[in-house]
Amino acid sequence: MHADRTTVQIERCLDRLRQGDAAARRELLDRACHRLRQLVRTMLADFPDLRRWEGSDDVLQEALLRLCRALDEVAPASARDFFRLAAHHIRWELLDLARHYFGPHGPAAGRRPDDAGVGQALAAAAAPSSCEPERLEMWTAFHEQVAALPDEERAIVDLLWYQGLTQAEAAAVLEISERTLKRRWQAARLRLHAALHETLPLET
Amino acid sequence: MSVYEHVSELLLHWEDLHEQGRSASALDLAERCSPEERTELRRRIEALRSMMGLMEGRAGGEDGNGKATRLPSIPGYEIVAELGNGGMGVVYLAWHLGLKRQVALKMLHGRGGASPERLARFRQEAESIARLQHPNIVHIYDVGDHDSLPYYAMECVAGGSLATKLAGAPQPPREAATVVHVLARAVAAAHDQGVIHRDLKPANVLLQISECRWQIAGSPDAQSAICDLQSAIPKIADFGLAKRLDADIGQTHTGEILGTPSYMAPEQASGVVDAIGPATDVYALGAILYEMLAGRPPFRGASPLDTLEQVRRQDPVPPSRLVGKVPRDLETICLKCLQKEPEARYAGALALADDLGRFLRDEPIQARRVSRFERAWRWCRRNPRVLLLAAALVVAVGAVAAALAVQQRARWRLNEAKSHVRQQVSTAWGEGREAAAGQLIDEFMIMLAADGPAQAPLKPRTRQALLERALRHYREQAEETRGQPARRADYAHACHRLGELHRCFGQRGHAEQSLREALTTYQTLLNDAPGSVKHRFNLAWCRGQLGETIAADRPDEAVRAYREALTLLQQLPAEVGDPDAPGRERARLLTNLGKALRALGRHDDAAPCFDQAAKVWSELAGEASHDPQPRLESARCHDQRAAALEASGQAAAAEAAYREARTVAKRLADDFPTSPWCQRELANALYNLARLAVAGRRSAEARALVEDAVRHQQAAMALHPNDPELRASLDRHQALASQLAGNRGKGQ
Repeated sequence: MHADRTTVQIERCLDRLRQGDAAARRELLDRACHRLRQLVRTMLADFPDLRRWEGSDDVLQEALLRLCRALDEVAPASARDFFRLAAHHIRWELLDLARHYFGPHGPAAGRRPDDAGVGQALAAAAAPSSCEPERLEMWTAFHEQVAALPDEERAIVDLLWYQGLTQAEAAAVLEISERTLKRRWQAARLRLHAALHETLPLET
Repeated sequence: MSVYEHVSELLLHWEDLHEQGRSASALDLAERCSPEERTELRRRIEALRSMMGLMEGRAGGEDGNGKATRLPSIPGYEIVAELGNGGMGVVYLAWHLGLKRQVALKMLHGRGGASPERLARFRQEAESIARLQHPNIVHIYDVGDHDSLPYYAMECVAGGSLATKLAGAPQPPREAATVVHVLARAVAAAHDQGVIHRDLKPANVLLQISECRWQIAGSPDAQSAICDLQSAIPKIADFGLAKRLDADIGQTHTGEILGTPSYMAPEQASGVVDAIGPATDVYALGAILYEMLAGRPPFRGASPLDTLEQVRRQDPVPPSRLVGKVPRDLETICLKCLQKEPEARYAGALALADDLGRFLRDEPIQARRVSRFERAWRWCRRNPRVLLLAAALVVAVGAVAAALAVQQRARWRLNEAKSHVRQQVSTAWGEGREAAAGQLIDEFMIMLAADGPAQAPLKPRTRQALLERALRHYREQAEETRGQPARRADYAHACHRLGELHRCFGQRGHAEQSLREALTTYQTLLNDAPGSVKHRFNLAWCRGQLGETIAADRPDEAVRAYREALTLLQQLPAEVGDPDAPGRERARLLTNLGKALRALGRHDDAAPCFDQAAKVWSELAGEASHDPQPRLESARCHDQRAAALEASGQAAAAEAAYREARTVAKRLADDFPTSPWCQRELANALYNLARLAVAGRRSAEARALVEDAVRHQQAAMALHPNDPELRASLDRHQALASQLAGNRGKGQ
């Protein structure tokens, strides 16, 4: 099965890493960096102005470097540990990036509506004419809310979204049934949706 | 199970379907809900969509182009969920607050906005469609517009569409016939009201299931319940509306028009709006039947444009060739609907329904199969660019078979050869392989140049038209390749063929010029590659043809050409290529040499040439040959030899030779009773013997011989009427016969 193959590949990589194979670490890092880039692209999907920097921006490069350093210092015991660790760092890098783009010195600075809320931002995020600052603010809130999810739900968001695994792969890593995974994944997203609305209630 | 647990299960199922791209089945979800659950389900679906949109970097909807898919709020309706999103618009599952019933609400994309007049017209048309009351047409309850976007509310049909049900799987033929029979009746009812659908396709046929067997826990089972065709009632949706509005708004939205070209009639695919009528729907019904039988639509190209091109130009592959067991009558019905010309299809949907009814009752159907020739001819009309090849092939199917029988090493029976060629031809057409078709035409050209096939004479006009087209083709090829060393062989080939063709037209000057050009080029090719058997053979062949071209004007030069060609042939290794080709060419050259010598009055020299030629032809014919051509040539050589001996004054030897000629011709005519040329050959031999008998004053023998000759000549005429040569021979023979009969009268 494909799901097993991914986990087995990661486990093999980790084995090789423990035996001092530097190439194995490289493969793991590449995997995490690749995913970080993909997520940045997702985050910036509706921001033509910002997407131009996607490949060359120093901030992204720094984020990638930090991710590498973080993963470089530890040797995860299992595939599951690796995913958890990588997802954690990716999440924080993304959060940083969102703050960077959205912060007082970011390219979106100065365009922030005074009274924008995440609820509105969330609605705007799904609209083609969404305002960039609102969406970025929402991303910041999103990453923070993921970090605040109950462990078993966050683990699933980590694997499926931050790590880009398929549902079958994620279920294999967590050693749970796909049905359970689907339930938790749905619960996590509904909880995130509610949290994002509650954190900054909808404008009326 | 609590309300929330139930809603969670429903939501999981919704997401499963969503992942599989089958959101239309979400219809079922709301059916299973209490009003309280419906509100909660709607809230959660919206939340999930919103999160999906965010996390997947696109819109919450399924269109993936970043558009918002928040459910609209339309007065008088409670929108429950989005069921599907296509080029025309979005379909929502909604609750009609007034009617207190579930409806499917289709909201059309405004695309630049429709003017109030157009909206009014849309509404008017929709209302006329709403009046269509038929159990197999999805009913329209309401038409309106919201935020300037037109919508209509229609009957909610649970069970998914026929497209979902089919999913590429061929259906049992009777089931397919039953479904299309029902659809055709519904379409006929609409046509009676002056409404044309214009966009019939499996996705627009919804299946109403009488009993809902949907279960949350076992979604695969639920799917199979939905897909039970036999118990489902097919209903046609989207009658005319969507297309009509789109056309009225006047937006050229190419992607959309090309959206489902697989089911589009050729007249629709060509954009001839005036030509769209009931026959357009008949075509689409045929396309649906085709897909149900074959598991795929009749045409499906790599891109919509490819498909459109196929719709316009190609004939569909008969479903039986794709899936095997398809009743012949049902296939005939299906292919009749898919005819390119609207007038060649059923006169209306009712006629189609009636014929399907006949099929289902095991009665004889009224549609007749289109013959291959008819199909080929229509194909030619649609493909003027390859008209040359196609037209030649159509006529040549029979003729090429004969030519192949001559040329193929394996000597098939003629019928086998015919079916082989037909198969090749239709495969080549089906696959659009012009090269393969080109090869066939080449063989056909050789055959044409060789005086026509023995068994399948061509009508003079057909032959003329064919030759003219071929002439144009090769002239273009020659122009294209002239002066290009890399394409020297192609140039030589084209010149060679041009020479042959000019000769067929009696344009000896042009023919000679082309053949000499070909000869020079072949010679250059041979000089570059002295070991090339092909070039040597072509050179010999071409030189022989040059001889034939100039023989009438300059027989002495022709004799030299033939002798040179014979020398070239002798230098060929025996075992290469088609083993018969050099033999055949040698026999031809010897025959022609004999004729040229006779033209020069050198009858003594000519006789041995014919003798030799007859022997080579006989060898080529082999034992018990099924191919008449070499035996016919052999018989002709016997006749020519006798004539040469007669002309050189050797009467006895001549008579013996004529008798031999008659024996050979008799066997030939017996073996090939349906070949006019074989019958004529025997008649000629008998006539010549009759002449000698007259000269020897053996009247009775002469009369018997000439009567026999007339009989065979008449048989030949019957087989190939209107042939001037046969007519002339018959006149000559009848004149002698009546002369002899008159003499007998006088004698008595």
